[in-house]
Amino acid sequence: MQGIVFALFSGLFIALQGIFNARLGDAVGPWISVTIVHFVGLIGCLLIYGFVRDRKIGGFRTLPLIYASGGLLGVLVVVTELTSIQLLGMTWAMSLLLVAQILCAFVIDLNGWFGVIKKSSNTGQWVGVGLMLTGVLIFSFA
Amino acid sequence: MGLGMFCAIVAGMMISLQTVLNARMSHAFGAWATTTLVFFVGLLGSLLALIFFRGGTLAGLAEVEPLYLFGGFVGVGVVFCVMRGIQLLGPSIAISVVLISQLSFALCVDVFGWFGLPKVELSFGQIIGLAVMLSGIFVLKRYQVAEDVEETKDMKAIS
Repeated sequence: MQGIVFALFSGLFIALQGIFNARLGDAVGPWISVTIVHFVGLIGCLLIYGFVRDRKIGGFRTLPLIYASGGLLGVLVVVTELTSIQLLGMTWAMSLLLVAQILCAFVIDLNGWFGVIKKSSNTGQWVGVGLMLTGVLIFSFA
Repeated sequence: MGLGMFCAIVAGMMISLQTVLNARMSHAFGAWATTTLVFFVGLLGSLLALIFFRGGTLAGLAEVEPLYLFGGFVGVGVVFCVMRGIQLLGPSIAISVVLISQLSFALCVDVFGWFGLPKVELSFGQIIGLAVMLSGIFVLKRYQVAEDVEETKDMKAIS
């Protein structure tokens, strides 16, 4: 039950975050928005980190430095997401984003990129991919 | 329409990439240490981008509803809730619930024009399109998760 509540709030928060960022972007433009988002988010993280302090000493050095660049992707995510919400509205922006996200994860899994365990595909997954793309086409032309 | 669709697709792909990078880093470095580092690097990147692209005006801050300044906190809430949801429910159910919650909320925002966003009318055809797309997501996820039940205690889902 508790898990369901967390999952429900996850979805709600993901959508809310998009809305807040889009509205902030309306007022101050995308680049100031993304800076504010990361500044405020960093404060939030530091508060939580202050309690959990889960850093594994030396763990960071075991990774190629490229992994630290994940944060830079976040900049792109916020800017493109808020722009798409402004231009498309929530439903269409969120749906397209999810489809792209899921397809990209699928391709990464298939190819075993970034050290992910390589997985073979099955027919069911390809049916899913086909349905997703059909849905996108129907939506675009309806 | 074109630019909006392009942006949504780029955002989705980048989220996917970021999820993979973050999941691996969380493993080696600790989940919150990772999230903190990610936001820190993101802040540096944002400042660079801001200096480079300029544009926008701080004057707008005076008029903006203060609530909208807290998207960053909400983002941290996302990381926390996704992590706990997956720990408690397992990735399969957690991801499904997150997707349903996210999309139904998005739909409500469009239909009722919440948060000062313009109301978006959806045609019957578009609703069919959404339904087909959603069913595709669930079919794909079903067959994916069935394969790797024992994997993913990480935050590998959507975040």
